[in-house]
Amino acid sequence: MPTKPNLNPPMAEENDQLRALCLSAAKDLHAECLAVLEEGNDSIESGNEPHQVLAGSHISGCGKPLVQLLQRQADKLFQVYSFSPLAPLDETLALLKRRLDDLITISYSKFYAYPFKDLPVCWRQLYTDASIMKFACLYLSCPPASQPSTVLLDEMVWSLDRALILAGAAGERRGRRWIDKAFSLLENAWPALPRPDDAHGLESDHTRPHKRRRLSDESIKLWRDTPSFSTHEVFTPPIKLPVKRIQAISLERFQAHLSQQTEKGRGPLPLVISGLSDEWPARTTHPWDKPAYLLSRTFGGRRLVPVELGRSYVDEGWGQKIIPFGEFLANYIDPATREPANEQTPPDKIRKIGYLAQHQLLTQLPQLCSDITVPDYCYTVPPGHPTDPSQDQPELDTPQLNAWLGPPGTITPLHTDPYHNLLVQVVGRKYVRLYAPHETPRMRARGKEGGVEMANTSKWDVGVFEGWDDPEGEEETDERKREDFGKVDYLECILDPGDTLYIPIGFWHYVRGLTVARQNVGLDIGG
Amino acid sequence: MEELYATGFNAWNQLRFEEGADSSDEPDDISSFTCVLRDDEGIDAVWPFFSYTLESFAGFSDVVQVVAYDTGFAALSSTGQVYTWGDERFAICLGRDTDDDNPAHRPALVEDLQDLPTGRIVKIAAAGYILAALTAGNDLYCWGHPGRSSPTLNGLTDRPSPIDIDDNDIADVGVGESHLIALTSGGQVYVVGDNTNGQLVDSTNSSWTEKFLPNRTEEFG
Repeated sequence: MPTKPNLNPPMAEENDQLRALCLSAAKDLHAECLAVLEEGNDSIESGNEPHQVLAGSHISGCGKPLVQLLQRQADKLFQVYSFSPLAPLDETLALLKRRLDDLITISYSKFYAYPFKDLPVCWRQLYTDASIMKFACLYLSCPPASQPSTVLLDEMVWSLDRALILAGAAGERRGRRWIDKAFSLLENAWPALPRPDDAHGLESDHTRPHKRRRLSDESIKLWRDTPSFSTHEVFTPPIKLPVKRIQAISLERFQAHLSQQTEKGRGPLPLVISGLSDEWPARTTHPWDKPAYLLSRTFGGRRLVPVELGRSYVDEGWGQKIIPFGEFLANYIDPATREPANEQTPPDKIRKIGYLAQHQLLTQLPQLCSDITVPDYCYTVPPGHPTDPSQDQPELDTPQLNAWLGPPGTITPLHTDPYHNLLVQVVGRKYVRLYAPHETPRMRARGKEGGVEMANTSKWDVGVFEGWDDPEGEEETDERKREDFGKVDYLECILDPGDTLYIPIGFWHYVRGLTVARQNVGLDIGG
Repeated sequence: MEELYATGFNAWNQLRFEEGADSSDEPDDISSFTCVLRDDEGIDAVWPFFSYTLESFAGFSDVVQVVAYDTGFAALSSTGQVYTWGDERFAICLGRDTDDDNPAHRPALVEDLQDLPTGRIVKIAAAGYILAALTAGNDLYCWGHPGRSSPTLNGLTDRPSPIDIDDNDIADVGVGESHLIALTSGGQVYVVGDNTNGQLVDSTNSSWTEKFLPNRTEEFG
């Protein structure tokens, strides 16, 4: 075949690949749905071998009418974009989009109807596949080699990111793999798009990397002159009973710490380990303390993140919403960087507190995952729960990674986790207080609240108890109980960037952000 | 001759009753009240797709109606008592208090629907996160979750409260995933809620709006 003269725009290759990816998803999904429907028809009488195409498909659980509806949309999408040289009729396209939205709405209603742990995976796959089709529909409707409008691009990101965040991108034939690939092609296809809101003032054109692959050793220089998050500290709690602090130790010595039997079989104590993350790209070449860097890795701040609104998840009026990362940074994390001339904005004019908490950000954004290294400590064999073996969880295949990013004053209330945890502070500072598992009877664990089990969360608000915060809800007025809680032994620490806190299983911990922006990554040990 | 008019979500052509409807095209929603069934024999009952589930319940002997919403059920007895049960995370849909004696997941009486000014409850309806009940004297009561989906009904709360629709007596009510439809004793049709699929004919509305059926002489279908 003769080589075509290169008249196309530079990123045509990514565009072609993404078109092909969209069409093959539609074709495969159509085949998968047909196979599911056929299977439903013959399995009862004939007991045929399952179709090859059915391996890993959960979609049949959604029932025949919905599988048919999905199959027809996948087929329609493939037909209108693979054969016809003409753009589809507006009405055809509008109905296709509406039907995909209907499928998304119907599957999403099941996310409410079931507690998430009981949600059948078929609904997550239906949500994901309908979202992939919606993305494909939006993408393919944009003529080749033309630049999509900002609105269209936001809609595309919205479809796929919601499937990642809400549905966990379920489904084995497409699922997360497909979405990661589509995002990677999309971000490379239009590398130099204007930012959704260029008024942020967080980066200027010459510092913004135009393509990910240009990020290299130049990186440090590239980001050095861009603003960092503010390190202003509103309030610093005094430290009276510090957690033991050590320099990074070998895997063997860490395992020995985990295995040691402290008095009365109470298991290992918390540790602050410094020096463990000094070489992470997140703290060197790919600086997470630079808003400009984070925006460059989130499609110019377009990628969506789930944000908790409210100071703490036990407060009245607490809620969650999904917003673009750029909007989250500008409106909730570092408003000062958005309006540099206006730093004296009175605190009451700043919006409600927004907190990106316990989100698998690094799974959603694999491009950030290479900025950290999972510490070897995660591959140790930790002991079980010291006082309550019923809390022990099956061993993890891979460590769970969660990320937190929030403004000062956000707290994670006193609670326990079902895993040993390493909390790595990357940006900013954080106060942590810990109470041992054997103090559980004095922690005033909550019960079921509004049908949701809250037994892992304490009724005590450490900040209010210590007089650092004004009470938000009802305060414990029983002096005897307050006196009793005041006598419970605890450990506390302030984590600086680079510090790693080891939290043993069952330890109650209260976490409080001190600086304007702070990020940490939590890694659960085991596996 | 009886006629059935319908509007709204029609992804499976479930609102079209004609024999031999062309199945090669994707069925579109219907976004105006359209005569979908005309039957000289009379129409006995039409059950909206995806919305009502009728089943017997062993716990009561005189239950005349059971309806389901997304996370629970309501049952009506022949003497007008309404019982609700369901997921305690959405206790707001139960229309009653929950406690150890009357947990969310066991049927318990909705006391606010007893001793009403216009008589006992004669019909209930539910879907999504909204429940409705009609009295013998043609008053409509609604309760449920106001914010689960797009605007449904202004002032919906966790307790049954009387709904005023331009001072009309209400003869019948239907509840969809995120909209309601009511028939007045004078034969007017009112709708409220979400219009994504043409359920409300023209636009989403959180207040009751009267809708007019086409002239009965219009072409069938």
